[in-house]
Order: sequence, then structure tokens, then C-alpha cells
Amino acid sequence: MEIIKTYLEIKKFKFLLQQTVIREIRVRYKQTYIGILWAILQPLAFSCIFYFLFSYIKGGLNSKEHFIILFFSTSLWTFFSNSVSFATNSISGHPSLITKVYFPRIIFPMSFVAVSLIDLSINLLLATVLHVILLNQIPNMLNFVYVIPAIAFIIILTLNCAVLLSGLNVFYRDFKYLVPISLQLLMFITPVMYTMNSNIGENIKSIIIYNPLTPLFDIFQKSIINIPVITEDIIRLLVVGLITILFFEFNLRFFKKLNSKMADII
Amino acid sequence: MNNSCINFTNVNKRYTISDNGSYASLRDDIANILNFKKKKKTHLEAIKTMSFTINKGEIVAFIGHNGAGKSTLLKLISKITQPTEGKIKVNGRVATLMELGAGFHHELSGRENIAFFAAILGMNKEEMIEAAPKIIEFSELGDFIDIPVKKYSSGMQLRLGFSIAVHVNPDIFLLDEIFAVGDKQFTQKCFKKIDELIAKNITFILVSHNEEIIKKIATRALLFDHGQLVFDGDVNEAYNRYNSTIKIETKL
Repeated sequence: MEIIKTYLEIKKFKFLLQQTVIREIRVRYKQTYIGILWAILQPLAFSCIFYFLFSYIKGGLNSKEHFIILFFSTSLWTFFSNSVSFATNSISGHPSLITKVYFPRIIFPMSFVAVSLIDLSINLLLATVLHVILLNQIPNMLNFVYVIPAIAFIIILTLNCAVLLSGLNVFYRDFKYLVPISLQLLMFITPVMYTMNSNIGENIKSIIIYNPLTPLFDIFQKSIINIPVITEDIIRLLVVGLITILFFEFNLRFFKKLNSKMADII
Repeated sequence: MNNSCINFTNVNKRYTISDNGSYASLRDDIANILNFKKKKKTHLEAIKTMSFTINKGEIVAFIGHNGAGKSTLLKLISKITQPTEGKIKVNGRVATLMELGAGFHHELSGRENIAFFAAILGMNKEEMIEAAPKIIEFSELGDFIDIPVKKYSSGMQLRLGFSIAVHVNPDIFLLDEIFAVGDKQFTQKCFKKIDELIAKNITFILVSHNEEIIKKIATRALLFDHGQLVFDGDVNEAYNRYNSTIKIETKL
């Protein structure tokens, strides 16, 4: 099992992963005035824009609920999108390190996912606080049964994309340009600025269901605003989760192959 | 018996050079597949079937012209790149000091870079915390340690890099052209430290064009020419041969 092998190797280099994450956070917010607050500003700005622009696709929610759900969804989307876009160039952006020192290269894409994960935790915490203030209620604890696996699968899916793209970008620099466009298009077919109950038209809905992110975001949104989750949703969640984990195994094997040629190509 | 720390058996390293520049592009590859065209590939044999063993505690110099394969060998030893054929066995922790400032992040201070660089060389947290004050003291950077590395001179970067590498407690130490910069005083300090490490039975591999320094420290020399090992043994003898090849070439 390549997943276990990779885990053991990263465990050996735990301190390096930690240092890479610290370094990335320091570099990112060095010479900025508001520092880590930038992490909150991004999903906040997005949810405000969506709130005012797309009020007609509320999907039967009141305005407060609508804003809360937008903030939760955009936080999660920002995590996915930032991780993938930063990770793509994470290995190819450090040619001097790759050709001069040995270390497990997978540390680089992983550290970018870890940095975005810190941002996500801050945002989810803030979203929960807003939930309590605006809706005057604590999120339903029972729904965490769905929220936690949904987030966990999104993290694995993000790792998949980050590792794969960081490796491929060493060989084909086209991915650096392909990724931002794909992410933008992907956002429109993921329930981020709308929910599956919104009036977005049957045509689009028939496309959306083929997006692996859809069942994960859908069950996440439903749990947040207490829309009952049906068995079909749970089955979809588990199927996507299982495929993601299987794909991760193959992905790591593929990365290992790429890894042996990286220093010669970069 | 098991005294060898680096063992090369029939190692071969080929680089593939594609005819259309160094970077592959998805467009070209897809076009080639669609046209059923086989891409022309040129192979460059950096290391031609080579075997040697280096024992623990030896101080070995790699000598040869540019392009003889010295740097590729260092990359193979440190696992940065994989051999095309053959087997490489390396026992112990390898510390590489390949190039000035490689691995430093220029926006971060010297102190912040110590943590990262030490981690990359394979240290864990406890070792780093213990070694950090020694590294700072050895580097003689003083108050500069909290200033971004981008403001350092090349000599200061070298001092920091060397200080970190010698405190990692490596079993094998690869030094590639590191005596080019740095003032006399620090170079002498480095030699003193190297002597200390030699006493601890640490293996050294040196690549330098500075004959004087190599002759002073090395106990064995490997002479390379166009990816082949042409001489293995005494340092002075290796230099005689190396220098004679230069003379012939200049006469022509």
C-alpha cells in the first residue's frame, strides 16, 4: 500500500513538513499589514458578492440563512481552490531545492494543503460564530455525523488534485495555465453560490451531479441549515469517498514514478 | 567487514534530451501522438557503467574536467536523482552542501532559515533546538541572524550554509565547490571543523577546482573523464594525470 508507505516517509520528515508550513505562512503574510486576516477576507468577500448578486437563487432560505450558507460554502471552496492552485507550482517553483537536496518532494504539495487547512479552520470557526449570532441557534450537533466525513473526503480529494498537479506541472508547464481556468469553471458546477434546492434549471443540475465535489458540498450545506439528509445523499457521499481514497492510492504510485525523473527534468 | 558506506555497482546514468528544447509541452506531446510521430530523443550518458566503493572515514576528492560527471555522482549519492541502471548503496545520513544559498528563502531571516534548512537535511525538532545556538555562534553572523537572508553577502550565506550542514551530524558529507567564497579566516575555521569531523570518522567527498586544498585534505582521489572512472588512488598521482591531460589539450 503506497498510502501507508507515504505516511511513514512523511512521518520521518514530520519536522520538515511542519517547517514548510510555518515558512509558507510567514512568507505569505510577511510585509502585509493585516496578516492572517487576509485568509478570512477572501471567502467573506465572495459570500458578500454572491449574496447581493444571486439573491434570486436562495432556494427557499431566508436572507440570514442564505448568507450563512454562502459563507460556509465559500470557505470550503476557498480551501479547495487555494490548495490546488498554490500546490500546482509548489515543486516546479523550487528548482534549486529539487536539484540540490534530497527530501520527499510530496512534502511540498502537502504543505500547501496544510496551510489552506489552517485558513479553513479559522473560517469555519468564524462561520459557526456567525451562525450563532445571526440565526440565534447553535448548529445541530447531530449533523456533524455528515459534516465531518464530508470535510474529510474533500481534504483527501484536495490532496489528490494537489499531488497530481504538482507532479504533472514539473513535466508539462501547461498545467499552470490550465488550473486557474478549470477551477473557475468547476466552481460554477459545484454547489457553492447556490444549493441543490435553488432554482438553477434542470439542464445544469443534470451536469452538476457528475461533479465529484457536488455530493460532498451538498450534504455539507444540508447539514448546516438543517435540511433533512436522505439515504441517497449518504450513499452518494460514501461512493465518492471510497473512489477518492482508491484514487489516492493510484495517484501516489503515479507520483512515485514521476518523482524519480523530477530532478532531471525540472 | 561492513566498512563500506558508499557502494556503486555498474551504475549508469543517461539523461534524455528532447530535440525541441528542455521543457516538454502537452501540446507537442499530444500532437506527436496524433501524428504517430516518434519523438527524436538524444541520450546523454553522464555516467558510463561505473563501480567503486568508498569506505567509512575516507576523504575522497572527485577530480575531472567540467562535464566529467562529478556533480551527477554527488546527485546520485544524495538520492536527488536515480540511476538509469545499476545499484547504489549508501549507509548513513548524507549532508549535501552543493551550492551557495540553495534552499534558503530570501524573505526570511537567518534564524528562520536555520530551522527550515536543518529540517531539509533531515534533523528533527529536538536536534534543531539543540544545534541552533551552536550554528549561530559558528556562523559569526551576530545580529545579522535576524535580518532577511536577501540582505546577506555571498560570504555570509556561505557561512550560514556551512554552519548548518556541519551541525547536522552527517555520516557522509558532500562538499561541492564551497571554498570559492568566504574569507581566509572563515576558510581556516572550516578546515578546523573539517579536521574535527575527520577525527569522528565521518566520510567526506570533495569536489573543488582548488588543487592546493584538495591535496591538503584528501586521502584518496577518483579521476573522471567523460563519465568514466579513469584513475582511483593517490591524490598526487591523480593530479599528475589530470594536469597532463590539460597540457596535451593546450598544446594542440
